[in-house]
Amino acid sequence: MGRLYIETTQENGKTVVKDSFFTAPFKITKPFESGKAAEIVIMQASAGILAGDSHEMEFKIRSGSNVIITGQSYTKIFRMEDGRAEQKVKIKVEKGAVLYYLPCPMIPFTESEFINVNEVYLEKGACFVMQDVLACGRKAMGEVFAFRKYHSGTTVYEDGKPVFADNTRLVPKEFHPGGIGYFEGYTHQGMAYFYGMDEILSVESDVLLSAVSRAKKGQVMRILGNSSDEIESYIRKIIMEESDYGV
Amino acid sequence: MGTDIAIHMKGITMNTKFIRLIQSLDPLFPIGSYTLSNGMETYVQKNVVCTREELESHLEAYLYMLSFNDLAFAAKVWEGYDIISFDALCSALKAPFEMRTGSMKQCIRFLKLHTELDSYPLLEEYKKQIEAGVCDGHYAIAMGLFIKETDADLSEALELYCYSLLSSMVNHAVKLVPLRQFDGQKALFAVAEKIPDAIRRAVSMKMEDIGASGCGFDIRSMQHEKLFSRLYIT
Repeated sequence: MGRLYIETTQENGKTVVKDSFFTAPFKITKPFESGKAAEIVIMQASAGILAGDSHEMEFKIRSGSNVIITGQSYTKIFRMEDGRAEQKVKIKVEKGAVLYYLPCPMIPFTESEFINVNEVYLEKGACFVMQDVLACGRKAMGEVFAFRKYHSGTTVYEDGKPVFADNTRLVPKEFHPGGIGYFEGYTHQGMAYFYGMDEILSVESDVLLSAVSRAKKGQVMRILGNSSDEIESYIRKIIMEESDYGV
Repeated sequence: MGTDIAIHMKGITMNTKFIRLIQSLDPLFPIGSYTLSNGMETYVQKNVVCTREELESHLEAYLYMLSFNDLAFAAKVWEGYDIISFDALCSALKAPFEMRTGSMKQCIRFLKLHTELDSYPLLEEYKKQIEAGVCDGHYAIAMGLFIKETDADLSEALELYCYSLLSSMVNHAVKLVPLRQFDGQKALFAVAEKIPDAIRRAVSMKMEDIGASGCGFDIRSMQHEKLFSRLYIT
């Protein structure tokens, strides 16, 4: 079981890591400056997620800190003869703090089963952006929705009350998600959530099917496309246009 | 005596309780179902649903999605989950603006009508919580409470509720595409076969699976906000 904990705060106008620890396979880079924010890259020493993995991550972003959390390229979810892998992510963002949680796109291999739970606790006055990008599998090899189960749930609470929830639960043998209502002929999907940011007005794209709307609190953007790179860079573009990220 | 008609439950006789459910789920029951296309208007304008076959695929996915959402919400409320926290979860899950506000509009109309027709303590309580701003009010939650009030069999009542959601969708598609009425009924007939399975899934749903939805359905609801010409409000 891998564990990772990062707590950031502000000292003399700069974002610093106040406390952190991690166990294998996790590693983190030293935060580096990215505009006004400190960027931390989460690295996994393993090649990907294996059956029986049960990872827990926790991020506490204290008032005044401005943080970007990213990963390395992709997260592969390997084939599992039986069993499954789980991941739990707990995020706390205090008022006056900013967090961009931008984990890598997930690639679930044939017969894999992965369950991810994101719990996000925001104080009023916090800023928070997250993304969740999923590929159908190793598309170039013809691996399309061959996984057993992919389940990623996110609940965002504002002062303890749920204000946005997303539940992506795909079990292709129970219901094939390729068609109308789900992937609609595309092979990749993305979700981005924006809280405490200016309103995003337009999300037009030539290659992606995307739209944005007001959630109970914050805004949600959903995207369908044929490559995770396209979806990721598209989300990045919207973030850059709408905020101080990386400026 | 032991005959069905002689059995009284919460003051409603066996045969009228089901009729009350049917009345509430009739498209003519004025809670605005005819104004909510739930994304169908977008699907038709974007040429995704143009034929009976495409309508059938849409309905099959819609039914699957409903089993994790409105049908499961109603089932959980019937089971006795805390209404205030369930209402908040429902508002968080129905993230696209029109999906959330459409459900809220139907809910408040449904509660107003029923509380004028008869006395239903559970519906009155929920209405008060909405008026006090404690709850947003969602149609599926009101339906779960109403099923409880009528003391109908949960699965049977959910089957009716589900049929009514599908039948409204078919009516929208028939008008919007347009399709022949008979094609609409053929599509409805085909998907109706799968209703019992969907209800079984909804009734036995685990909390972590509640609200599972499809990216496409959400995008079509969001796109509807910006459609150039709109006949429907969702």
